[in-house]
Amino acid sequence: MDYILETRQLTKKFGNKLAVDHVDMHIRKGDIYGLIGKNGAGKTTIMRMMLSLAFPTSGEIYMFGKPITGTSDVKVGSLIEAPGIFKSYSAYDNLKAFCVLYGIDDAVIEPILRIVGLADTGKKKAGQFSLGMKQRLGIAIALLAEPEIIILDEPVNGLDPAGIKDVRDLVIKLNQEKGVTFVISSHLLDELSKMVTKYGIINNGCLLEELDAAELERRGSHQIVITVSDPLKSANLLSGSGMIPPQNICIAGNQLLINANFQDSARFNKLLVDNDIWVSSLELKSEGVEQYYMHAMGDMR
Amino acid sequence: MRQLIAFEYRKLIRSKAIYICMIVMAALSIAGIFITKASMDFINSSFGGSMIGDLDGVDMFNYSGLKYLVSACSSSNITILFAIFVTIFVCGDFTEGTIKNIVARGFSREKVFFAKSMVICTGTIVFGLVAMLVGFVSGTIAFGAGTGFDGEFVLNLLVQLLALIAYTMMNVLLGVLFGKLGGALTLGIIIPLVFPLLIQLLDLAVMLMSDKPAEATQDFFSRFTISSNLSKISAISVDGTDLVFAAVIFAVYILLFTLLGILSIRRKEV
Repeated sequence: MDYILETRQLTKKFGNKLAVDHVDMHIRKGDIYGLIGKNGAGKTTIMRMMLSLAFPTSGEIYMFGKPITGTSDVKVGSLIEAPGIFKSYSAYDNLKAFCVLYGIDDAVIEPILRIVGLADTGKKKAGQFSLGMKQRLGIAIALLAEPEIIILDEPVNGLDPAGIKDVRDLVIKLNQEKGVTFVISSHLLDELSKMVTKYGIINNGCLLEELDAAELERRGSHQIVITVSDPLKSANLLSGSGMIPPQNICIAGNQLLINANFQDSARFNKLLVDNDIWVSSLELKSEGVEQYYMHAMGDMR
Repeated sequence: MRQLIAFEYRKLIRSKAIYICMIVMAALSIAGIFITKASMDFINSSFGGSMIGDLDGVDMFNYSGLKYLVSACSSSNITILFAIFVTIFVCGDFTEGTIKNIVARGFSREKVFFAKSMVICTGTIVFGLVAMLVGFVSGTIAFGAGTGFDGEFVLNLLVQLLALIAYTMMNVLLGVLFGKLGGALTLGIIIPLVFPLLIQLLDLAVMLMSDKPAEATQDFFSRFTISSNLSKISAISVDGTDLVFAAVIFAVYILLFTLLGILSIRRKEV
């Protein structure tokens, strides 16, 4: 398979410390790749190497099938660690400066400022912006020159819930409408799960696993939660029917917690109702990325 | 490269540091000239014009617009002010993190270094020309224009601008090496002040170790420093050999600092 961005045995040492350990990452065109891992796991270091900001100790990075040399003309937008902005400039002037650098027309500035919600900041200097506004400005700079790949390190840091949603919507919009490929790291895993199409789980510099969002959904455990009038009778009925082993049913108050496939929920409901048990609610709960990540981390311990 | 240079020029023009440093330099220069003038007038009036008047005091020290023009660049104030505005300019991208937006878009570190160097050297030349102009105008108002302006004089001024570029490249190197304003600025101020003293100490050591101290060369090492060459040529009439030697020394320093700068930025993680 052809990958738009790929690392091969990527390794980075700081002194004797192995920060990134022979990482093989595979990012397809159009992916929203979520790089997840705890603080110090090596996420930022990998992203910095992808952008030629840091140099690998060994291994290679390929972008569009070619090894990156640090002087490629591939359009890559990025926001790594703190946003790189001129604090004495306004939001407009910041973008203007980078338009000059990237050789693009400054007509793109106003639309981008509107997209990131900074159109009304006027002459206010970026140094006086809140953390969230600075983050938005960093994202705006990353969007200049219509990049094909955007690498975002903790892009929703410091943003309020509305801002987080705005960034998520923007990522999804650019991905779906313009086919922009994203590599995003965030410790807000549930937030990440709302946009990511592929995950890379990293721990202590090692890439533990790469899996598609659909694959994670398939692998995760599923639970059916049914609130009933008579939980004990319900549990006996379900286990007695042979549809579910008794050990997969747990009673908690007036609820049954059943580990089973979601497709079985309708049959469970019918069985209970047919036996004069009132079902007041039926919920389908699947293990989210956060739980999956915690399990993956737990397996490493 | 053209885009990088345009980007850097835009930053330079908008940099307050260069204008503030220029104003401070002009104020110090004007104040120095008029304090000297006032002191001369006071001495002349106190001694009824006889003591220095007899010696034609003003002419004795050759104070004139041209004298201040030719010595404008050798002031220690200039090296300090250079250290300030050059390091602020060079370190700005590192401290504000904007260098990440440059390198990540595929601009090579070497090109970044050359663009920064070219632009800040232009700023340096403007700074030096303003220093010379302020010195000349103030000196002329205080003491008269003076004589000695010829082709060699102009050549001298051009060589002095080379010295300023050498100082600038030293500060660019420090800025790239440290990336942080504090360290680069501190060394940028200290090195031009302390380095010549250390070299003088070495010269002294050479003289003391010589079999015939009286005949030993007094500037065995210091003849190779920027400051000693700059002060040697900061006169209206300069020997042609000294001028050529100074130009070669300045050019060697520019080349050296440029090479070291490229080497240090090439493997710098930003």
